[in-house]
Amino acid sequence: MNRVLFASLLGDRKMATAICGAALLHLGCTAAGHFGWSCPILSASGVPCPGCGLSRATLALLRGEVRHALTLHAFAPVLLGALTLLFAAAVLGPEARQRLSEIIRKIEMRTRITAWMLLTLLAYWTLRLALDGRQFIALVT
Amino acid sequence: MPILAKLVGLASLVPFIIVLIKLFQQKGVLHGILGILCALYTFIWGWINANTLNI
Repeated sequence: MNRVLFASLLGDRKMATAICGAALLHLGCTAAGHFGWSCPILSASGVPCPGCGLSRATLALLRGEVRHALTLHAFAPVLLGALTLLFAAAVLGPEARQRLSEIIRKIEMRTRITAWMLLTLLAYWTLRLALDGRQFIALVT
Repeated sequence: MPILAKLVGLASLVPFIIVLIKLFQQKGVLHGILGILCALYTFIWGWINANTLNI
C-alpha cells in the first residue's frame, strides 16, 4: 500500500484549492441551514458512510461545542487540521508549499499516519454501527 | 429541501461509483479508501482529471 497520500494532495495546488473550496462551500451551506450536498451512500442505502456527520461535527467544533462535536463525529478535529493544512497549501507560494508537502511526506513515510487514520476511521464507523446503529443513524440523518 | 438533497444524493451515486473505480485503478488503494470515506474528494478528483480519464 502506498504510504503517501496527504502529502501528494498538499503538493498539488489545484487539488488543495478545489478540496478547500468545496469543503468551505459545503460547510457554509450547512451552517446557513441550507441543504448541503448529501452523501450518495446514505441517500441510496439509508446507512451513513464513515464520513457522515463530519460537516456538522466540524461546525460544532468551530463554534466551540467540543462535546457536541465529538458526539457527532470523533474525527472532526482531524478534518479541521487537514483542512487547515490544505488551506495553507492552497495559499502558500510554490516553494513553501513544496516544503510543507515534503515535511508531511516524511511524517507519512515514517509513521504511515494517513493509512492508520483511515483504518481507524473505518473501525470507528463499524463500531458505531454495531454498538448502537439506530442512534448513529438518527444522529447523522 | 431534504427531499431535494436526497434526490441529488441518489443521482450522484452512479457517477460516484464510476469515478471511485477509476480512483482505485489510477491512484491505488489508499486514495480509493479515502474516496469511499469522503465522496467529495472522489468527485473533485474526477472533475480535475475528467479529460485524462475520458469520463
